[in-house]
This record gives sequence, C-alpha cells and structure tokens, in this order.
Amino acid sequence: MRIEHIDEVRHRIPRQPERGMRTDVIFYASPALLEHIQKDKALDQAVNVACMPGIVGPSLAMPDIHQGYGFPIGGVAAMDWRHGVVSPGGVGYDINCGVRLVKTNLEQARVREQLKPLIDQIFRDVPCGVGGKGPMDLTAKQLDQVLTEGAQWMIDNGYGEPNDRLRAEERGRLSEADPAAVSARAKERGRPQIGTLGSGNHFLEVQYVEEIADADAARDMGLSEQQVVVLIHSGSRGLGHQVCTDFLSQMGAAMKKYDITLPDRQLACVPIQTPEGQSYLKAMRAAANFAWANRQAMMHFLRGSFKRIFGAQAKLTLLYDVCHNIAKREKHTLNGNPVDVLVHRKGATRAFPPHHPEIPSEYRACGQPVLIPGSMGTASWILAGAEGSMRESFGSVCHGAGRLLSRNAAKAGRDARTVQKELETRGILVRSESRDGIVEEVPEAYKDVDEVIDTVHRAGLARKVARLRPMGVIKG
Amino acid sequence: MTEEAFRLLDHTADTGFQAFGETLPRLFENAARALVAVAMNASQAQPEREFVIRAAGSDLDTLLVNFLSEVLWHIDGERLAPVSFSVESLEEGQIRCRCAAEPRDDRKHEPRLVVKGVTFHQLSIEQDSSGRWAASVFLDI
Repeated sequence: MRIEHIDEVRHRIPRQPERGMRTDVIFYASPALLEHIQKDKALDQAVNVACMPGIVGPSLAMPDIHQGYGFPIGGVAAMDWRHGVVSPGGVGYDINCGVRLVKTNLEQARVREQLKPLIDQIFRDVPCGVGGKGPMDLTAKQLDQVLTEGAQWMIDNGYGEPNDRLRAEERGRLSEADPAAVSARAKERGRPQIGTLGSGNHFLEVQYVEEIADADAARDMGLSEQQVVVLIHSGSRGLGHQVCTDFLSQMGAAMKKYDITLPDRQLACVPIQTPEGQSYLKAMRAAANFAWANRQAMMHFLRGSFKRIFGAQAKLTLLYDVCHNIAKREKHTLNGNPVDVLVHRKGATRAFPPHHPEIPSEYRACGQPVLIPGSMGTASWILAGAEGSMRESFGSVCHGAGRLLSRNAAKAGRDARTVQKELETRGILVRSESRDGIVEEVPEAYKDVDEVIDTVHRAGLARKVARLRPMGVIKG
Repeated sequence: MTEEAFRLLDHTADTGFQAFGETLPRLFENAARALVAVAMNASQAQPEREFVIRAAGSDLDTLLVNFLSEVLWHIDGERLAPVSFSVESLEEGQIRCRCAAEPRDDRKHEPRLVVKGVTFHQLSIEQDSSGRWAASVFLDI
C-alpha cells in the first residue's frame, strides 16, 4: 500500500481507481502510532470506505483507528445527502455508543476517604445488566416515547435535572426519529436493558482532574485540579444492536436493487434518498435517542450513589455527552464550497470549534467539549474542538485509545485477581460482573491514549483541556 | 474421541469462532453452540422448554448469519440459556432447528460477553476433501 507522508501526523493513501477508490484516504498518526496502525487491516478498510458511492472529501481515519467490521473503528466518511449512501456498518452495532462526563463538587482527597463504599454503592445502583434485567420497567408506550424524546423523557419523568438536557450533543435527542421504524424485536431486546451499562469496553469510571492543559477552557467547563468527575461510556444496548442486525440483513437485497457492489459485505449500504435509507435513518435516530436516555438514567442513579455516601451536599452536574457511533446530516465546507452531507462517525467524536452555533452557549468561547475515555486504569482526556476539524475532518476527532491486543492476547498469562490487585496498588478499585471483563480490558490491550491525544492536538483537530486519572472502575 | 465442535478465534476489537461438522446440519448446530459459549456458560441449563428457530438466506453465508442472529435474539432478547440445537431441515436456503432452553439466570449461567451482532466479516464456510465442513464467524462484542 502506497502511503504519502504529508507531515509528521498526516498521511495519505492516494486514490487508486483500479481498486475502485473514489477518493483518497487521509489518516492521522504519530510515527509510533503509524507502526501499530499498519499491523492490522484497518487501513485496507479505510480504502474500502473510499470506494463507497457519493463519498465527499477523503475517507478519514483517526489515530486510534483499528480493524472493525466493514468500516475501520476510528473512521469518518461524509456522504453527499442527495446522491450518497448510508451504511449501518458505518455507524456500527452499538448505535450512539458514547461518553457522558459528570462533574462533582468533591475533591479527590475527600472521595478517596470513602472510595470503597462509593464504588460498591455505584456497582449496586448502576447495573451492568449483562444477563439479568435492568432497574427500570418501561411500558411499550413509554419506550416509544423514549425513542422519540431521548434524554428529555428521562428528565421529564424524574430521572434528571432540567439543565441536563442543555449539555449534550443534539441536546440528547435527534429529531426525525421514528419508533415505528424500529422492529418489535429490537424494542423487546432493549426494553429491559435501559439504565444499564453493558459489557465489553463499556464502563463507568470515577476519576479526578490530574492536570489542566488549558486554563481558560477548563474555567469555561467548570474544571479544576483534584476535582472528582465520573465518566460513563455506554450505548444503545440490545435495542441498537438489533436495529443494526435488522437493517444489515435487509440491505443485501436492497444493494442488488440499487446496483451497488462493494469489496466487503459488511459495508452494506443503500442510497440515502430511498425508502430503505430513510427507514434506517429513522430507526438509527430512535436508537440514538435510547442511548442518550440510557446515559441520562445512569447519571440519575449515580447521583443517588453519591448522595448516599457523601450526603445531600454532593452535587453532580453534567459537563457534556458525546456520541461516537452515529451518522448525522451536517453542513460543512469543502474546498470553499458548502456541502450537505451525512457524516458517518464510526468510533469518532464530533469536535466543533469555538463559536460554532450548535454547541451550548457556555462552551462557545472554548469549543465543544470532546470526551475521550482511555483504557481501564490509565488516563482519559477532555479536549475542546478546534478549527482544524472543520477544515479537514468534517468536524471530527478520535474517540479513545484504540485497541492494540485482541481479547485472547490480553487474557494470555493474566488472571483477574492479579490485575485487580495491581490496579489497587495504583489506587484504582475495580468492580466487574465477569472476571474476563477485567483481564480483557487491561491497560496493555490499548494504545497509549496520551500519544493518540498528542497526535490530534498537533494536527489541530482538537485542543487538550484536562487529563483525568481513574480512582474506581465499574465494568460489565 | 469426540470430534472438536468449535474453537474461539481472535480479532483485535472483538471475537469469533470456528465451528466444524461432518454435515451441514451439524455445522450449523455447532456454530449455534459456539455462539452460546461466547455469551455464557450454559453447561448447567436444563431443557425446560422447546421451540423452533427458523431462518432463510439467499446463500449459505447469509443463511448462517441470519440463523445465528436468530439464536442471538433468543439469548439476548428472549433471555434464554440454550441447552441443545437439533437441525430438522436445511435446504433451499431455509433452516428449521429445534432448540431446548431455560430462562437465563446469572447465578446459574455465568455471563461472559454481550454479543452485539453476528457479522459477515471474513465469514467463510468450507468443505474439505473428506467432506467435513468448517465455518469461521466473527462477532461484534
């Protein structure tokens, strides 16, 4: 594969028409990350995305890119709204998998005094819901309302505070969602799981602000050193997974109908302006709304946990909530011309810069908060969207550290108790519903999150604001 | 000696399995058992209820993905712990498979991974010269 190095962090795979590529691939990586990225098939997958009909601008890949299914994880592709395609694989099975960051009014020293009871309390209050039922029992009618109203439904029904809705991407609700486009199975699979975390790489982490990198932005976001925050990483649970499965199985036939052939079946897609494309988008938005409601519910339970341990003076406020598996219609500018596109972010986060009208007024000066979970036991980051993202990446940036080792490789020679003990000696308590969950997510299984963040900071896609250090982890 | 029914495979982000069978029906049954083994330890499950799983697909790959997606629905949607799979018919792009299961209970069936979906990624179904079938399937988890 021919790779041109544009500069130290930007690289290009030029368009090769003989491979069916309609455009270039541009990816971001430091020299150290470049080596990792070339070890799996992620770049081949970014090349396959460059073959998709109606792609506008390059097929993009962030420094946390790794091999996914069809799309690489860490991929961004903008499709022309009138002539392009929508791909359920470009969103993924976990529709609106995302991150919510909750600020507390407590400092590290205070929380550390009661860390064990706090983590045990959260582990009880915010269930992982892997095998059993979740804490909420919604009726079919209520579920349909959740699919339409997103986080707002939770706030209106006592699972939140009025201001919570202001501090989320899309205010925690995508319009033009249609519960009727979501199958009965998807609803049945998701209904008992609302208010639960899930398993795999999903987690809830109690952290503290270890270092402020940008004092002005940190002030705008209400952050100070030693402040305790909580990061919730979760998605649309079985409801979103089933929506993806339902539509992928329909799209094989639809692709034949629309005469689309692609190098990988998992890239299944249909033109946006078709009944199948519109139906998927309506169902995807409904699943996205479920995910926002889910994270809102978990934050509500979390508030209860803090109050129980620290009393009524413990106050939790939402900093922001971002999604990193989504397709959204947005207006961008490409080579000086306005474009109307459906931006697929598969393991990528929106990162709108200062003064963008779609970010809450309190963050207008600093840019949209971008929340990047690191691996279990290392660090997470708060960034702020920067101008470069609008010039180069359709307002997008990375989403995490990016996996390095497979789950089996991560497990080799490790046992859960040892990993748990090692983390405890570093001041990090871990609670998990499964032993495998702990070993498969060891820090060594991931790329160095700081290196990923350095790369996007240097590329000007987002700016560093604060580095967060974990104290306690709840895992599925 | 018992023939190997399936083994788990590695993938950077997710997981998968290779399933084997002397015949296509055995291959599909073993693939279903592999999927259950990824999701939970169902070794203590009892055949409390029986039902039929049906799926269709225009080609063998699609049939296998659709069949496993049905099995996944029963695990994650119906919340069942399956004990056995017995294919009753498999022809012309259609499968009927009898499944015995009991309701999931985390204390009895230790949960392993939440499987989000069955993918077409590097999916392969092959028959060797001795007639034995093998399939590779990757799961999003």
